[in-house]
Amino acid sequence: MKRKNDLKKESLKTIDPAVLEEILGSVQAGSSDGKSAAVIPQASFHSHFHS
Amino acid sequence: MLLSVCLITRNEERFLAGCLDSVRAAADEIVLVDTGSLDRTVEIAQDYGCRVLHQAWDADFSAARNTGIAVARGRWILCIDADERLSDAAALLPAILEATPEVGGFLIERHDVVTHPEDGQTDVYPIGILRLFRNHPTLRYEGIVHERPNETVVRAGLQIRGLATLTLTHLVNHLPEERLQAKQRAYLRLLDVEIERDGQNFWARYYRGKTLWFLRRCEEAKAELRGMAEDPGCPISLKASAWCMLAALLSEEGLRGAAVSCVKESLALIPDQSLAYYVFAEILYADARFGHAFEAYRRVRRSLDPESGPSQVLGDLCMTPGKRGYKLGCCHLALGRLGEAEDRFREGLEGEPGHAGCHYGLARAALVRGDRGRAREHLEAAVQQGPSWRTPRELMAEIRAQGGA
Repeated sequence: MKRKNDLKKESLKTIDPAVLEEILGSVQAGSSDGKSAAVIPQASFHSHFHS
Repeated sequence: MLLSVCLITRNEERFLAGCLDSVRAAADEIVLVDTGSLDRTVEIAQDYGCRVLHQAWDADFSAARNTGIAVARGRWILCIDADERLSDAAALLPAILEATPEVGGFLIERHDVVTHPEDGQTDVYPIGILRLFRNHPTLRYEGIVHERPNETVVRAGLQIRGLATLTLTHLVNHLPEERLQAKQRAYLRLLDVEIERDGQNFWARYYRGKTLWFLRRCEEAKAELRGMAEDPGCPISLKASAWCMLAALLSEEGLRGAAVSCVKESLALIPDQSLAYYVFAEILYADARFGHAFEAYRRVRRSLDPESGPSQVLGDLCMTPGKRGYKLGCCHLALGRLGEAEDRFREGLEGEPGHAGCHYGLARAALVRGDRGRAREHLEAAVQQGPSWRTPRELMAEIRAQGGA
């Protein structure tokens, strides 16, 4: 029973690739310049919708 | 008389003059209803030649607004708040003069200028808001809080159109945090009164859900948003917004799978919207799915839809050129597509010169290329354009500490 709950919790956390494709269609990986990536963090939803 | 500008005030001495300066070129008269200011608000209004009415505050925003509208003499009404600025008052007149009889009002693109508490970055969220409408006894504000005239325009058989030729800038979080909290708690009490009167008031329930989230009462917020989203009596446009807010809240709790399901529900109701794609993009970016995030950001509108009508998703938004360039550039950068990232950041700067985010993005790309001199140039520009944003300043200090150019 615990395992079933764990699986359910995991599905709430994990994005299903099939749903992504359903909404956006097939998304191509695209070419890369081969340089190491830099990830710029984005603001939280809370500050977006409640400021 | 063509245009009456109407506003309600209470202790707005800091902001009122800037607001009145922005509208007076187009206004034939300015009607100001003051609900009990203790500062210089009324004196400033009189200096500007406003017609000032006094009305005791009765915990009802619509009542105060409608008092002003009832005495307005212009054929059209523009409602504005003291912390808002109209970009180009002269652009109002052609819209009014060219309006066909079936048009009852216009959504104006309001730019909510937000400073994110996490890092001090200033950001702009453009949404469409009905503020310009015909002066007719049936067109009035409704709702004691988060008031709006929208339904009265629709009930009068008139149309609502989008007006993309001018913007309202809304200086959102100019209040200290404790005052923002107190304001939201006061709004919540008013929303509870509205819902107590009518449990099917879904507009109030939507804002109640959002306000509970603001106050970090997340379980109650989720219950309210889900309850209305699943209620068969709730209008589709509000359901679509409720699903988006629920998605955003769940995403912040780390439940991104559930959040994406909510986005899907929203898009199934109204496919032609930007809010769901924007929320979706932010979820995907947070989940490090940068290619998908790029595709979702790409689907967010560039400007207000002129055909926007009553079915518009509440809170639907668009992205300014600078923000679009920044968001798309960030996705490319995270994927290591430096050239494409730089192209997007430059596009953002072309469309919106000085955009701090785009300068910061170009600085990060320059660093990846090992060009510290160029990185410093863009960081200096980012700091100049966004002085409250700490991230570029910190990166600049880091480069200096490393002895960069």
